[in-house]
Order: sequence, then structure tokens, then C-alpha cells
Amino acid sequence: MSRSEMLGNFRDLGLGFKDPALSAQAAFRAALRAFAAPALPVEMDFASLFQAPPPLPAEMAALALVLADGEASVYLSPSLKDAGTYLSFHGGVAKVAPEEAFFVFAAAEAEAPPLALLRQGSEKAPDESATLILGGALTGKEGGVKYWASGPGIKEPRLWAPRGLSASFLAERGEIVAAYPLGIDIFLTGPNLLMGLPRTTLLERA
Amino acid sequence: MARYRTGLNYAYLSEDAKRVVRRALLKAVAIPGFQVPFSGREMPMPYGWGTGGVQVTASLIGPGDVLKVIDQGADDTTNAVSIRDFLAKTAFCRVTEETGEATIIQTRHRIPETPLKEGQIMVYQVPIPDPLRFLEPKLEENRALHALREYGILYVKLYEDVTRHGEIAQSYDYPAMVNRRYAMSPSPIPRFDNPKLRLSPALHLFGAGREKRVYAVPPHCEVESLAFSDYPFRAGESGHRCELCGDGESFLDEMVVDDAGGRVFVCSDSAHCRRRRESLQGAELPRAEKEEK
Repeated sequence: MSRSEMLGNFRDLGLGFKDPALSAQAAFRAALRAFAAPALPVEMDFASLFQAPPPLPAEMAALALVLADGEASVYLSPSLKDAGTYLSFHGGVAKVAPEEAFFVFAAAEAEAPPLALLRQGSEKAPDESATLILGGALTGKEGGVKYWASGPGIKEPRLWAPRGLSASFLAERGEIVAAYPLGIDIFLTGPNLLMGLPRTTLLERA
Repeated sequence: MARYRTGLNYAYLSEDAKRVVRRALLKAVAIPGFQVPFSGREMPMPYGWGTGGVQVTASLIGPGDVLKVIDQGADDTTNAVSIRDFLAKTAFCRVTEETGEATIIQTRHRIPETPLKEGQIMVYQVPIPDPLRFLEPKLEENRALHALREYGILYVKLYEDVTRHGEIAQSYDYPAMVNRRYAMSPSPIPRFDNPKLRLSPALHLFGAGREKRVYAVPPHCEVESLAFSDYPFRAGESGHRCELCGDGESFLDEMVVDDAGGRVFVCSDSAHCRRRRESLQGAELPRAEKEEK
């Protein structure tokens, strides 16, 4: 490989967090807020955490670098595959099949693996379960169906009109989290937006 | 990172160590009351001094946070002073003694008297995270009991209290059921503080350093102290008033003040007591009822 080819490859890698400690801290607090107050979008300028825009949406790249590494593996859906090198280089992230992954990144509902395929944890270790990070879910088309969200983190039942998500997807999720404490936890993401749907959040059609 | 000028990573822990704690914390919030194992690190302080709490706080804290640290309610005792100093030096955050000003409150064995607010995070230093530990020492057995939601032995312990003492005698580390699923040790807070956990607007994170476990109570989460219908849970009251500020509602510490066995009661929450004294300045204190010798 020639020197210019090598430099070209490095350029493709893009640049990571502006500040490895402080950018990660800011992104983590947004994620924690999203899980502590489910079904409520958390706004945050994720793009400002990076020196150069990463090849995948900034909010997804931030979550990947904050949470995943060689010990907690990820699955990237087909249209996110190209970001694999970026995550390996900046985060040492291991990529595996969806059924083995702790963090499953999907660009949109259509690309998400069937939820029943993902790790749900066990009775003794419900924490050894997948977290799904699903893009295009906060800015897409309103599905028309509204839900009352309730559960820990929600003071009064909250009316939520999902965007870019089908009723069948949420029904599939409902079946899986009915096995509580087993289940999967979901981050819905959109440009500079994050919303938590931990397994404890109950969704009832309004 | 030269600009932090400590020769250490921001907030002491390495980014790898924080990532481990952060992953565990998110699962802990998603499964309220469940103890999530994590690979804890050595901290520059001995176990028993809050290594679990410090690892949780170090994984959360940013330069914009305002940190309060208390030990048994007081901001000015050794453990609180040293941890506050450690985090202020390594995380470059503001510190405070005012509960209302703090964004993160790390605590050893108390919940402040001032009601907590939405957005605040409580971090508890936990010695023994499993409420079943003293009843069943085998870890693997405890995991199975939690998995099966089999908490009979906890009730037997409370029942034995009733038969021996005529009431439930456990006065601190009083077990509570979180989100109707997991029995949780609220760390050795007095049972007086248990009701403050129920439907609290704040996020409560528990860190056990030696045992390498974190668990959580999300905001607005059901936390029910275990009890019987004919022996309901009682938070308890001291029947005394604080000698310094006259408060009869707050949690009091009993202090020996002379060689003759003289005792007084004072607020355990030092910041709460100080604020009351400042606002009462000039006014007459409510009478402290002295104990008969």
C-alpha cells in the first residue's frame, strides 16, 4: 500500500470525540436522562461533540463510543455497516451478529432485526440483554396511533404519538417486555434527539 | 491531558472504567432494584469509604455539575470532606452544601431533609447491596431467590422481630420492594428515610465498590417498605427536638456532651440545621425537651 493510499484510508476514518472524557460524559448524561424519563425526547447537540462529523448519525456514533467497546459488542444494520471501521478505530468496538450483540444499531425500523432474535437476558441476569438504538424513529411520519406511556420515570401517563414506527413493531416490543424482568431496552434517535423506551415503559393504545 | 493539570484522567477513572459503570447504570435504571454486576476498579481509598459511590459519581459528573457530599447527613465530616475534595480536584466541578443547588448528591447513609427535585441525582455508598445477604450468604442462591421473586426469608426476619420485640425492630437498611419486583437494600439509611424513596422525583443510583454491584431507583418509581398488614411500616420519630434549631421533624443524632452522661439531640442533616438556624436568627427557638437524668 502506498503512502498516499494509507493516508487516504486514515482520512476515511474521520475524527472522534472532541474531548474523549467530556464529550462522552455529556452524551452519557443525555442517555441516562432519556432512560430516567422515558417517552420524552431529550434534545442535545450531538454533532458538537465531534471534531468532524462521523460517518454515522452523530447521536448514534456518540452512543456507540460511550457504551460499546471490545467487551460489549455491537451489530450494525446494513446501511450503517460502513461505520464499522470508524467504530473499531475510535472505540475498539467488536462487531457481531444481532443475536449476540449487546448494542444493536439500526438506521430505521425496516432494517432492525426481529426483536425476538435479540438477547433478552435470563431470569438470573436480565441485564445481559440487548439495547436497541433505532434511528429515524423520532422524525419520520406519524403513524396515526397514539399511546399512553406509563411506568417508572413517568409521573403522569404521557401521551405519545410515535413517528416512523409501526404499530406492529411496538406490539412486538410489547410482547417481549411482557416477560419482565427479561426484555430489551430501546433508544429511539433522530437528529440531535434521543428518547428512551426501557423495558419498564408500558405502552397502551390511546 | 495537560489542561486538567492533575496528571490524571478527568474524574480520576479511565474512560474504559467509566464505560463499564455507564453500561451497568443504564441497565440498572431499566430494571429498577436489580443489582447489576460491573468490573469495579481500585480507588485511591479503602473499601468501606465509598469506593462504589465514587465510581458511580465519577462516571456521571461533568464540569457543569454542582456536587454535594454527605456522610450521615453531615457535609463536614471526614468521609464527606475527602470525597468532595477528591472530586472537586479531579472533575473540576462546583461544590455546595445546599441540597437545592446540587445536581449530584453523593451520600453515605442519609437522604437530605430538603425534598429532592426533578433532575437531581442521588448517589449512595453501599456496603452490602443484597438484602438477602445476612439471611442467605451464598451469592448464587441469592441470585436464584431474586430470579424467583422468593422473598419469604425477608418476611420471616421481620416476623421474628415482631415476636421478639413486639414490633419490627430494624431501624436502618430497611428492605423495600422496588417497582413491585425486586427486594432492595436502600443502603444503611435510617428507615426514617425510606418513604423519601417512594415516587421521588430524583434519580437514585446505588454503588457497592467491594461487591461490585450497581442498582437504581428511577424517578417516580414505586418503592414499598416491606411490612405486614397488622404491623404496617412506620418511619418512626424520635420524640425529641434538635438542640440547635428546634426542629422536631428531622432525623436526629444523639450526642454525648459531657462526662456525666449528658445528652442532646441535634439534626443529622447539617446543612438543613444551619439554614434553619439562619432563618430563625433572633427568634426564640422551639423548646428542646431535655431528657430526665
